[in-house]
Amino acid sequence: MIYLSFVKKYWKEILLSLLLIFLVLKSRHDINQMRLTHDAAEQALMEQIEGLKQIHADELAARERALQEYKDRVAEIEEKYINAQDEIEKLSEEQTEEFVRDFSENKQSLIDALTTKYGFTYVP
Amino acid sequence: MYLSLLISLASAGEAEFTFVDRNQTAPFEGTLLNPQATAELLVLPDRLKAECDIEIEYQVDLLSTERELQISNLNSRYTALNLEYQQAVQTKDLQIENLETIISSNSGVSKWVWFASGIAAGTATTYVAYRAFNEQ
Repeated sequence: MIYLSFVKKYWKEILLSLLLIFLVLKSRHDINQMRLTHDAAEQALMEQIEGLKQIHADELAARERALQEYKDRVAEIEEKYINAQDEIEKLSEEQTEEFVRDFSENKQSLIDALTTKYGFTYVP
Repeated sequence: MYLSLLISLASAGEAEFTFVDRNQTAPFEGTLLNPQATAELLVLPDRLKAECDIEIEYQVDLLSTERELQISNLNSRYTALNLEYQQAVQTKDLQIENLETIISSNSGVSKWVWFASGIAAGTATTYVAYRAFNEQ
């Protein structure tokens, strides 16, 4: 009965307080929702940044691998080139020696070679 | 005289060679090469051709390798950009999903509850105002 008379007497203040409490709770709820939204966005962006870092690292590693393969391949090509030059040098020396020998041993071979390679006419 | 001139012109236009021994007279005027020079002259065309071939092969191999490197780098860039794009889309999707969840948790709770609350609050406010003004 005491409570009822109290409520009857101060019902406006009680109602105003309840409305105020409701307003405060609703505001807190809204702020909480906004914070959750912000946290979710932040987390997603952080994950994106981590992902981008990983992608960047993977790309750099792939480029590094490709560069190493390129260097290995260039070294291989240069070695092959130098070997081929040496081989040509060696073969040329052998052929030169053979032609020098032909000068005293097989003149006909020399005549054939000069005629074939340069189209000169042999005058005996 | 004219005949000898013609003969000499004809013989000058045609490339000829012969072999001469030491102190022997040459059958025509010209350049004398020793056996080594002759041999080197004979080897020269094949040697130049072989050198040219390996030079071409060398340069082609180098260019080809360089192109392979460029293609590989471009492929890496493409893959990275593709992944970045997919990740950006995934992040946006996640954000949209979160926002939708929040929106649905707000509005889904109940349009009807909010409606009823609004009516109740309106009625209460009107009543309070009525009573307040009546008391005055």
